Amino acid sequence: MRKFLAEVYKALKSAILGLKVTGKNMVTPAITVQYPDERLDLPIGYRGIPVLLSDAEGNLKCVSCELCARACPVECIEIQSHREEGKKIKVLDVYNLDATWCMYCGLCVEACPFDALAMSDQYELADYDLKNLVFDRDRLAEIGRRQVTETINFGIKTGGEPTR
Amino acid sequence: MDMFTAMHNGLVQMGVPLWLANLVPPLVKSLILLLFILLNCMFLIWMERKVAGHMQRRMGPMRTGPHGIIQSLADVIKLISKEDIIPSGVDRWVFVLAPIVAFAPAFAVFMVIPFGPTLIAQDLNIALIFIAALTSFVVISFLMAGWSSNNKWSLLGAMRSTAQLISYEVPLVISVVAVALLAGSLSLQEIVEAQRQSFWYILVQPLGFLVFLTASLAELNRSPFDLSEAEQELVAGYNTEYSGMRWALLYLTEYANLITFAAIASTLFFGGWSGPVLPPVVWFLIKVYFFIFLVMWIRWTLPRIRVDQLMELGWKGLLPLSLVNLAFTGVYVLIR
Amino acid sequence: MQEMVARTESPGIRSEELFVNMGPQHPSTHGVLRVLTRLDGEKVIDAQADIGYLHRCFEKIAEKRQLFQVIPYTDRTDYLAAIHDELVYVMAVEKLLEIEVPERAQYIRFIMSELQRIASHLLWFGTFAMDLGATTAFLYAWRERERLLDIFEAVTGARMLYNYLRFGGVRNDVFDGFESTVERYLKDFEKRLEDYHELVTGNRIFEKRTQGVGVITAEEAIAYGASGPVLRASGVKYDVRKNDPYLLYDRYDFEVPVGQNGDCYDRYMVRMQEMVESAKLVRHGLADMPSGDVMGKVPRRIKLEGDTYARIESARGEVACYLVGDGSDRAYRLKWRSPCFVHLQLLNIMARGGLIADLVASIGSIDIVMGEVDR
Repeated sequence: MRKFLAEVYKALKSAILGLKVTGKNMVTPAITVQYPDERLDLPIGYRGIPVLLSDAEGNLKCVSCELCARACPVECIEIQSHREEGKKIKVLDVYNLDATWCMYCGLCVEACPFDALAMSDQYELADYDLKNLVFDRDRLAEIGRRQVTETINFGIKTGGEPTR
Repeated sequence: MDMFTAMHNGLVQMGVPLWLANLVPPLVKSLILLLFILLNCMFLIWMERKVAGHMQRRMGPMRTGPHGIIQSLADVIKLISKEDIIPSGVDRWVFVLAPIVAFAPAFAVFMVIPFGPTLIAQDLNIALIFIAALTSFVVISFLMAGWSSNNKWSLLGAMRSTAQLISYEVPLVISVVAVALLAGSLSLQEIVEAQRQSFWYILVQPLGFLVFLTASLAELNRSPFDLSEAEQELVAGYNTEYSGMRWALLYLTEYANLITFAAIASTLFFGGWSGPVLPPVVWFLIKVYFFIFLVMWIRWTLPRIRVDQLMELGWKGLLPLSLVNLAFTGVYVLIR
Repeated sequence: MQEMVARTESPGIRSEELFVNMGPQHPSTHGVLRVLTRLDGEKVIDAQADIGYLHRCFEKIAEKRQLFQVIPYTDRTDYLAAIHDELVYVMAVEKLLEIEVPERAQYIRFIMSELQRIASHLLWFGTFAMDLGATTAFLYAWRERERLLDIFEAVTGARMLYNYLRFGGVRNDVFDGFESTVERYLKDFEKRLEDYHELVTGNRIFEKRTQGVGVITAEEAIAYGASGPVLRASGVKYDVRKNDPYLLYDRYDFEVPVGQNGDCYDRYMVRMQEMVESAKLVRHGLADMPSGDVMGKVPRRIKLEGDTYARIESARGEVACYLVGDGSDRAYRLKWRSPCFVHLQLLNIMARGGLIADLVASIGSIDIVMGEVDR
């Protein structure tokens, strides 16, 4: 009998303690972000889709050395280039990055000796068509020009604290 | 009730046959009740999501209307427009009938619930027996839904809820009987009247109320007793195979039952529609919504109980407690 | 092997076993686990785990890729505690190539690894509470984990799959103000932990659901090769951090929480206490973190020769990596020991004779990540 009552008391007490916690949290404001309307700031060094960077005149910095393609663990980068007559630098013809394969590891950016490639701050890549997820040279360059946050080549310190 | 009598008299004077004139007022009453239940259910679904959201430091639905207030309406439209799927292995008629069988008693109970001194569809003098009889009817629909679905999870869910509902019916009714003893009547209107003349019965029936609350949580299949549709164990229990409007009907039934129990709880223990200053209906709704909030609060706090512990709690915990309560109440009534 | 369950048979009433496929699409099988369950009513007679839905040939891939290219793949074995798996692989390679790791890099690895343990245990706490039906605790745990992931994101650039450790150090230094951010987080976290205990631990229903459920005795745990919290909950005081110290674990003093009964409740308590210990270790690490380089000297041409075995204490148990080189720049063979795979074999022992609800609690309590089970 005593055990029974003790059990009832314990169960009630613990339930009320729990109710207190949820009640307390109910009257404190929510911590979520209403996504499409508000967004969190990304830290510097965030790894979105890899993009091609351009120099001040708008020309791609890439010299088609194919180090990124070789560094890629999933082999999602396809590069084709040709050497123009009388010039030293190769011209980039095709640079396809298959975003369905890419795992955003950033090894391609680390491999790039010319800072021609960077992990962007783009993460909204959803599309209805898989074909659109193969990013070609022009689209990658376009996204690269849109880049707002500072890009970093790894090995240096990342900046910025988390926003929350 | 004057309005309905006037309606009846008017129809008879207009030359409408008597049987038809007799039929019209009840139909109008039930339509009003149906509208009340459906609107409230939709509001409750929204409220549940909001309460859950804020308890979990989220916002809940936000995108349809201000603070997502018409989210339920959007959901209803979606559910109506969905394809009506009857899986190939099911027992067709039973499958189709189950949601209707579930909804009808939940709706019928409202006939005897007093919303105000005169605002009651039918003041039965055996209202409590009527309620007890109708609410236990739900078992059949769950069993129908679970059995006909031809799905193992559904069947397990149906078995669980059958065992659960039958065993919790007993302490529930006994705790209600104690209130009937105090009031000396089975009519809800008279129970309210009795409380108006003395005090709210929660004051002398705290134990009875506790048993009633726990047992009705189990009757409602609400957490921590939501074993029959325990998502983590049985996927969705007896409504695994349901979709579209049929599923919506089962879902609505849950909330309709929730309103029913909140209404009964406030009538039996908290003086029903009685209260100062504000009109009776408002008092009634305030009390009902307080209970609904309490039930939601409990749902989003407690973990789920296990099926054997559920039986243990029902038979070894609540039943003795309710009997003790009944005995004490009897003694109290004698010496009063 | 199968227990015969006594049934009440009366003439005209026949009862038979119910065979149910629990999963791979089931809300509480933590991914794509399929449990072949034989039921007698609610009682579980037999539960066999069927795995392989997430197999990705990780070990074979590791033979075909260059050494540094494997690091992103190690992230994906145990994706809830990715740093730990990176660490064990990186440690194995460093052992074979005899690469020195600078002090600061060691400290960063140490802090990140303990933070990761907290993140992983938090997620486990949430999902375990969810398995028992306490939905709100789940979202509270995610709230805390989210802030931790923000810290990880700011340090490594990704939230879950970091690709952060390198042979000889870490890829980049932490951001300025890392110490104060983590310190602030730990303070809040410890306050929240009290909420968790009030909401879940002390709850009578929770205790009833977990105490005496899914018992693994110490003998069984050792015989099956269990490790980590699962082993410690059974009362065996074994922790790789203590028994075979790596990183800086021999420098700092910390408690290894041990259970007694080996039931779900003990596994729960062990993990909850481990989080507190991890927070302590992080504080120690932050206080002593030196400045300096984060990358050591790494030979330009890599020649992998000989074999080595590296092991660490991950959030789930002992993760180990056996690496064989044949003189080329790729691994000749990589063998991954994943604790989740081992623990999953204990499922039958835990679930047999219990109810369906106990089976769910048992699956939750061993903290499996299907990515690591199947690899």
